[in-house]
Amino acid sequence: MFKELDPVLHSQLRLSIMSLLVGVRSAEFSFLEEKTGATRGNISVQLRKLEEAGYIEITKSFRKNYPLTTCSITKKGIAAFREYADALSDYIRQKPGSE
Amino acid sequence: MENSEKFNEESALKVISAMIEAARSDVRDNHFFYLLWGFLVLGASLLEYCLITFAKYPHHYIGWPVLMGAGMIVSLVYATRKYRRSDSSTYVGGFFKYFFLAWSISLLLLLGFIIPGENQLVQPIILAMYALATFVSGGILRFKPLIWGGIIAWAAAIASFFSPFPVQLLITAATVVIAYIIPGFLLKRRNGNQITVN
Repeated sequence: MFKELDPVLHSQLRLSIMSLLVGVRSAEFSFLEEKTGATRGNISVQLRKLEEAGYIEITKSFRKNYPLTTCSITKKGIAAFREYADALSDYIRQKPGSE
Repeated sequence: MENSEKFNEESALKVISAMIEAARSDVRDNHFFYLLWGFLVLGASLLEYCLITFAKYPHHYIGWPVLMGAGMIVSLVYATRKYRRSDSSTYVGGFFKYFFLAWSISLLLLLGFIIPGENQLVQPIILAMYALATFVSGGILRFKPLIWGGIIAWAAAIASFFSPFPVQLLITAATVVIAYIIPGFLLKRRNGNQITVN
């Protein structure tokens, strides 16, 4: 029986964002935009969902009079990501045809 | 990148590894410093060797303060610009910032206060310090050419300790080619093949 995958993380863009944030201390919106190749609107929507789940923290500030959005992963987010990765590796291990 | 209905477990694994690699590639993009310092030290070593051996010039060390001073200015300007442009803050980047600051201060202390007059020790100590920086960088970045470069620089420091000064300069020149310049070009090529995910 497979562990159910976290629906918040089991989305291509949300998972991409979390995978990027898990490796950095913090990242600006433009970093996520460049690395994922997604549209600004789509990223904003997914960031809001991740923030509502408590997986990331979003800080809004200004740099040279321009708004600056910075994101970082929370402890809850790291735990959820680890659980998701464990569930994935269980799935791959138990999949018919795998060793 | 849009949410796809076909997003399954295999796709999820691919996304995770590609994104982690994409974030890591940014950290690895330090080839500029390896190439800059590699070529500057190579130039300073060979210049001093030529001035001692062929020109018999009394101020044969002149290339070092000039080239190292230029290197420091270029490094500071480049690092400041890169830091300002950077749109992510990584743990590894934070580590390197403090590590190279501490490393530079230690090297300056050694060269400025601790070993002046001990000419036989200058090149071995410089090589041992290069080894330290190269080996640690290679380990943190998991980049084997730098790890091997560090080990070779330690061996060169030992060989240098038992060699006359002009030979020490040739050992230093050969070491920076192996420990800095070749890994610098390999890093550059690796970052050129950076993974992109859409």
